[in-house]
Amino acid sequence: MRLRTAKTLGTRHDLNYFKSFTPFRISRVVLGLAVPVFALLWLGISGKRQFYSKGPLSSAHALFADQCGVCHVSLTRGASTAGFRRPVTDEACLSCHQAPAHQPDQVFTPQCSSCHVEHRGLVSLNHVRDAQCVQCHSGLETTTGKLRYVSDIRGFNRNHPEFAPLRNNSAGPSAITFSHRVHRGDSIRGPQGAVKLQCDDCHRPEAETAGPWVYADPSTRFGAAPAGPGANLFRDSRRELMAPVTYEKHCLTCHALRFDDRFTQAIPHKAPDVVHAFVVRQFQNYIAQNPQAIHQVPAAGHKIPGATIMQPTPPRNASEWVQQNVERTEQLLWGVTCKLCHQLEFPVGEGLPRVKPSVAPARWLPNATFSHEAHSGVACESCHASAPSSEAASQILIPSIKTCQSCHNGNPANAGSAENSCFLCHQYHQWKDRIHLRGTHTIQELTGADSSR
Amino acid sequence: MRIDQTHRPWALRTGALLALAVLAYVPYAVLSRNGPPGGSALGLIYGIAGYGLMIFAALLSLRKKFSIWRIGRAQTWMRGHLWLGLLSYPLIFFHAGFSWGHGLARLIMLILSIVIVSGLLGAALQHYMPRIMTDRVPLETIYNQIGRVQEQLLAEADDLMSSLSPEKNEYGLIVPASDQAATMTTTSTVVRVSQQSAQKLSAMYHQAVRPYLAHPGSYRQSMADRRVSKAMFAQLRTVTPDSIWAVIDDLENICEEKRDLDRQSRLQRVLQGWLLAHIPLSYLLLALSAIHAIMALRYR
Repeated sequence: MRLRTAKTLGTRHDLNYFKSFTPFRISRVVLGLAVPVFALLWLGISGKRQFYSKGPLSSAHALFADQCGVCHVSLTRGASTAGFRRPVTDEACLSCHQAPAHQPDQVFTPQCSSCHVEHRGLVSLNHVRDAQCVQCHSGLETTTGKLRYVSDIRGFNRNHPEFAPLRNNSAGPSAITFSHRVHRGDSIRGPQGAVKLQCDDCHRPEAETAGPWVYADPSTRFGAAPAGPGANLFRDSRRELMAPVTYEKHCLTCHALRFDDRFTQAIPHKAPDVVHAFVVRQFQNYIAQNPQAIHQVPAAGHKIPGATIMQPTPPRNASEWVQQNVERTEQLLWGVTCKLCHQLEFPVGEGLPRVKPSVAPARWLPNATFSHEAHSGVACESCHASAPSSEAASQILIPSIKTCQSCHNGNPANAGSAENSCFLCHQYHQWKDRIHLRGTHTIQELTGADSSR
Repeated sequence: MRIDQTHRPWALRTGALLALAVLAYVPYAVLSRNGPPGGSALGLIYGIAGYGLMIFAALLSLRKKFSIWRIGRAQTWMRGHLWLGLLSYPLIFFHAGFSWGHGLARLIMLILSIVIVSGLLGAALQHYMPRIMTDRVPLETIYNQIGRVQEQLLAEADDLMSSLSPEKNEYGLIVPASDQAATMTTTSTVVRVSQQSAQKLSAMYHQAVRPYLAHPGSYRQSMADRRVSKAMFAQLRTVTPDSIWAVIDDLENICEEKRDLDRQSRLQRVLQGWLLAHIPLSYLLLALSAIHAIMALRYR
């Protein structure tokens, strides 16, 4: 019978067993040395600099992702530094990019790389985080102590003020008399018959205004402007803002300035002195060709409604005839025709009236950008809700900030919420101050390609 | 190492350090304009602390190598290795702003995760396996000596069967005279067995028992299955006189011990196998982290 006592078991073991290398210990030591050594050798041999990068470069800079020295230069304020560190300085950015200053009286200017954060993958570097803007605009200060903007803005949905033109319920600068309600009505008639005007019959981006107006009289249609070279190469070019509504393009067809049945040519839509000269010239030409007209009685259709017209003495010569007809025509023009849309002033001592300028700005928010093209899928009335019922052109019809905020309330964008980042509407750099930049980098430098190949 | 009550102070201190790190991280992350960068002052503190804890955890191997150094008990070092090494993981995530990074940084995060997971697996194994070993391997021996003991078992079985010698004993068998005898070679009695019984015993030994004993970890052999082994020995007893059952009992007992040692080998491989991933990857992690630190500070 086998017995397993401590004594018999003790004799089984080699008392120096712990000094020997078992296969397991050998494997542990070999792997412990081999794995790091091979990994480091592979890193050294592969030579891929991107591997050490903290993230992929943006699509704009991806070209020179393996050329760290393009951005990580040993330059600080123009002087070469021989130190260990290779940070990205503003000078490196400005060697390729324009970056006009933000405001002359700003108290703090961030580094380029603090707003345009690289090594975050194929993202746009223009997409600056709100926190970068809010760090100043949540408690805005200036070197002069004067503030031109609201001082406590923390985001588009966080204390952003109402758009400036809408803040005080003030009227717009337009001096035109115009009713959107009437023109959107069902009783409008055009030269071809009944018309039901839609918003985009008059309001279109500049890129779409070249062709003839849809309701134009064929006899008064403007020819489509020829497309310039490369006009359609850029998808959003000239599609951000609505082109200004012009008389010639949008009003003339229905509101032609015909002033007398004897003339086929309409009065030019110009300043009063030009109109006056045109009318005089028309009558002078007419009487020269029709001298017997001096003795004809004027047609009754030229009476001004509500006005008492003194019967003039019969003209004795062509000059008097022209003068009488011009006076009568201008009474009609200044009293009725022009006043239909324009506000006229009659300065004392001046024979001709002055027309108040109809200054409707193309861009209502000068410190922000907006693209109708980006919103082209949305019905006009959805944002410009008060436009169809508007009676006066002085009424500002841009949407309230609340309308924008009803969609733009996500950061980042998510289901039901469009993005509301500052950069969507605002630009940090004053691009009007940009100057010419002369590039210095070579293709070989950027790509690392051998120029001899 | 069992994770018992003695780990409580370590767990509490580690939890307190983690809570402190979280408290500092939350406002830091919320107030960071472009997300918490690893290159900021606090980000660097997290990185240095995490890397420092990794180095401390790696020093355990040195502590084991030079066990006579008076630098704290091995058990204390082991607990520090376990808890502080674990703390390095969240600290490195705080350093990275909970991003897996890119390139080298991502590789480091991946290796760190494998090291941490393998370490946790090892800690769990070391917590549960000893009990399992005690239950399932009653004849446990020193792991490094299993091969040597199995050689001795084969020699012991050969000794038993060498007495079955037709030249010397005409198929007689020497059996122990006393239960107290440790080996078969002490005072013995000659027992005559029939040729048929001797052949059956010899055949089974050479066909099943010896090949099984001669090959460590021969799990596919019939004798590796305890039920099969038991049935085979029971069948052998039916065709042999009960006077030699003591020998058969010893053979069966040797096979049983061999099975235990094989099972112990298997369990020990599980118990220590994770180290083959944990240790090399830990060294690799330290090397790559050093490179990462140098490159990140240079191009920050």
